[in-house]
Parts: sequence; structure tokens; C-alpha cells
Amino acid sequence: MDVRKKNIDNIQQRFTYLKNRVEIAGSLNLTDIHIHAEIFYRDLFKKLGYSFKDTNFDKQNSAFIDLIDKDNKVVMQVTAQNDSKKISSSIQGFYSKPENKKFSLKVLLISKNVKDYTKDFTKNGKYNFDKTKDIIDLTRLIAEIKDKETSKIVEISNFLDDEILIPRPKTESNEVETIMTLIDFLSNDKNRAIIDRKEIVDPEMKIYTRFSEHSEFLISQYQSLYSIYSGSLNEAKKKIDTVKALIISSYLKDESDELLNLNNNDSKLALKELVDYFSKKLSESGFPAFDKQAIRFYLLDEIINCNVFPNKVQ
Amino acid sequence: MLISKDENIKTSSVYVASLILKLFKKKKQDRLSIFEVTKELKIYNIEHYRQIVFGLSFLYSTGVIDFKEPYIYTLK
Repeated sequence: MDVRKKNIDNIQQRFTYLKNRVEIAGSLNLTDIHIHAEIFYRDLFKKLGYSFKDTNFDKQNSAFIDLIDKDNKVVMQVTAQNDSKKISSSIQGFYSKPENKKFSLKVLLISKNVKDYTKDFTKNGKYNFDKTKDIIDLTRLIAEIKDKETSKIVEISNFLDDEILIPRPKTESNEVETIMTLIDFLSNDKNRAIIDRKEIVDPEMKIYTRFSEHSEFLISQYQSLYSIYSGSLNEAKKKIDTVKALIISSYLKDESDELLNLNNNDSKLALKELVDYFSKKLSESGFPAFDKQAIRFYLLDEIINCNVFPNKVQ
Repeated sequence: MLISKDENIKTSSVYVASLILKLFKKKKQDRLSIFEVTKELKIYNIEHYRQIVFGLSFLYSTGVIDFKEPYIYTLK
């Protein structure tokens, strides 16, 4: 259910962004985006079971339609105009040829909404056109996608991720943003139970005794990254409250302890795997341009705070 | 545990609570609006709603204040 919701939210977001882009470009007479939109929707509808090809090479029909699916006998006009005059002229123009009557015509509105049309597009039953089904705006398209199986929704969501790039608003430097995003991720795990465990908070014992084999490595790493990332870490930590601190601490303790056990108490290897683990999580959460060294510094700092590789009571 | 070792003391719920009580003392009133409280806390860089909510929650849970929107009252 969560996968379904997450992907539907993504689909809605990407379509909304595209719709606004097309609308604004159209108002500025920048129509090249409309041309690319035809190809985009051709490929999108393939995932919904259609086999559309564009009609640019079919001069007879290209005035009224943009995509043709000969297998399913469906044609589509991809348009930014939603006025009844435009739709009516497309229907009449296309169906003026008797050989086109075997095709079902759809009108896809890529930047405007379906209106409450009162016009009779069928011309008293002359043309086979149902305005309630054959005029599709993005709201109706999303409703159709929502009705599909989860695997299909994920497929379409991934397609939209590849095709529609939403610029990420950058408000902080990348180091600060990386650490803030990591903190948000760590503190946002709603399914995490906070376990009260008995521990010894003793960073000196941990670094110099428990991890004596790698103490030089850990210290030198921390020293070299401190001058670059300490400011960013302080900035990012400003908004941590009591509850978030508890959730973050619990998450880090669980994950780091498990990785340390899996790596036979090798803190160097376990740290590397922990950095890779959170790098992957940030990337999957839609933040691909993170600073990996910022993540490393954050985790080294949390080693000192005894949230990473906690000292257990013997 | 009143303060976590992992949080900044100066944004902790107990510290925020102390600032709110100091404001009551400064104003010599037993009633403050939430707007007065947030304006005062901003001086101390307490700007995130969660920090303010946890500070107020601490005072409420210890029976020091009560609420009647938009006012916060000290209980005698």
C-alpha cells in the first residue's frame, strides 16, 4: 500500500509539473515542448496497453490527429487547447474520410482541464464520439493509472522519473543539505520502536581500547573532515528536538551494531558499509547529488556520541 | 530523561520551558498569548514549531501551565 501511494504521489507531482510547463510555454508561444510532449505521451500510452505511432509521416491525417494505434483502432490528438471549437473541428476533419470511421478518436488535453461541454460533438449521432470518455485531461489520465496494478503504477512512475526532471530547489550548500536530509531520513522512520538499552557512553574507551586496531584511522578521518564539515553539521543539527534525537539515536544504534557484528567487529569495514547504506537510502529518496564525505563525517561524529557502534554493558 | 545527550541543550524542551517561565516573570502576568511567547523565543533562536511545542508540553505535563487558545496561563 505504501509503495502504491508513494508512486501515485510521484506520478501526480510529475504530471502537475509537466502540465504547468506546457501551459506556461504555450502562453509564451514556445511550442517546441508540445512536439516533445507527443512523443512522450506516445511512449506513456504504450505502458497502458496502446501501440501508438506518431502521424507526422501521415500527411493526410496529421492535421487532425497526432498518434495512431492501428492494432487497437484508436487515434489520439495531443493538444493544449480545450475549447469545443478545436475539438469539434478535429472530430469533423478526421471523420470526414469514410475509412477513418473504424477508428475511435481520443483527445488528450495536456495543459488544460476538461470543460463541461454542452456542444454536441457527434452531430446528431453522425460521429462516434463520447465526450465523457474520449476527452482525456491529466486528471482523468491519473485516475486511469490509479486503477492499475501496483507493478504497473511503479513502472509508470519510473518512466516519469526518467522523462520529467523536476529541478530540486537548492537552499543550502550541498554539505548542509546532505546532513539535513540524512537527519530527516533518520528521524522520519515511523515504524521504528525506541528500545531502551543499557549502554556505556564512553567514546575514549571505544576509540582507544575497543577499536584500538583502527583508532588511528578513525581519528585521522575525523580530523581531516572536521574543518570541512563541522560547520555544516552544527547548522544541520540546529533543528533536532528531543524526540528526533531519540529516534535518530535508536536507528543508528540498531543499524551500526548489526553491521559491526556482520563485519566481525571491524569498525573500519563496518563504517564503510554504514556510509554506503545511508548513501543508497538518500539516493533512493530522491537526493542523488549528496556529499558522501558529509555522511561519513556525520557518522564519525556519531561514533563519538556513542550512537554509532554503541558500547554495550557486559 | 529530561535532555538527550544528542540534542542541543539550548533547544531542549526544559530550556525552552525555562525561557517561557522567565517571560511570565518579566511580564508580571499569569497570561501570555502564543504570539508573545514565539516572539520572545525567537530572540533565543528557538524558531522551529516542534521545539516550542515540546517546551509547552513539558510545562503542561508538569502542571505548570494550561491553555485557552490563544493564551497560555500559569496555574497557581
